[in-house]
Amino acid sequence: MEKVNQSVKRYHEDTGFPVLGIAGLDVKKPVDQVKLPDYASYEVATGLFQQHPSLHAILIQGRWRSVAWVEELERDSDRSVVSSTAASLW
Amino acid sequence: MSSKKSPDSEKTAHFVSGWKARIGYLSPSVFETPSDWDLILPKGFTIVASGLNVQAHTTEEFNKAIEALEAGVGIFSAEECDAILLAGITLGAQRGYQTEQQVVSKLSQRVGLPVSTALNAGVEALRHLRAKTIVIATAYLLWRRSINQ
Repeated sequence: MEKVNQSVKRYHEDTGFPVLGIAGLDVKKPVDQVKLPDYASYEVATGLFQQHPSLHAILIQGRWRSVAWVEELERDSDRSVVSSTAASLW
Repeated sequence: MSSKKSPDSEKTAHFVSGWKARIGYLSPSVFETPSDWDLILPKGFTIVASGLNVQAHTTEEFNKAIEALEAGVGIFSAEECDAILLAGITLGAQRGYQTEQQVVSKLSQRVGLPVSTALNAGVEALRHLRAKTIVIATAYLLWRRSINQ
C-alpha cells in the first residue's frame, strides 16, 4: 500500500513548500472522515507542532472538521493555521 | 380592504439564492451538511454541489473520478455557477501539482468558468501567509494499492 499522505506531501513539496511533517488517521473511505470526533484535526495538528516546533504554518487538509479549531490552534501554537475548507472559500 | 402587504422590495432584494455567487462544488464523494461550510459561507453565497461517486480511497475509485471530471464540471455551467471548486485531494495527489494545474486550466477553458482545487487553495493561502516550512494534518493514511498488488 502506498500512503496517501506521501502523495499529499509530494504535492506540496512540488509547489515549493518544505514539508517538515505530515500525519493523519486511518481513514480509508470518504464517509469515515465525518465519523471522527470534532477535535480530531486539533489533536493531529497539535501532535505535529510538538514534533516540529520550528514550523511556520500548519495546514489542515480534508473534509473533517477544522474551521472551528483554527483560532485555538493559532493561539496555542503561535503559528499560522490554514484550513483547506476556509482556503477553498477564500 | 385586504390586509396583505406587498413584500418590501428593499428587504427582499437579496432573498434570491446565491445573489452574490453560486459556487459549483465538485466532491469526489458527496457534499454533506451541516459541515464546516456552514460556519464560513457568507450570506448571498450558495454551494451547488455534485459528486463523482468515490466510495473508497482506492486507486480504482480515484482514477474513475478523474476520468469523470470533464463530464462532472459540465453541470455547473448549466446551473449558472460563477466558479467551480474541485474538492478533495483526488486529482492533485494522484497526478501531482503540475498535471493538476494543466487539467484545471483545460477544464476552465472548456466550461468557461474559473476552476480551483482544495489542494491548491491551501497552497495559495500558505503563500499569502509567506509560510516557509509547513506541516500537514490530514484524516487519511492509506489509499492505494500498487499496480502489482
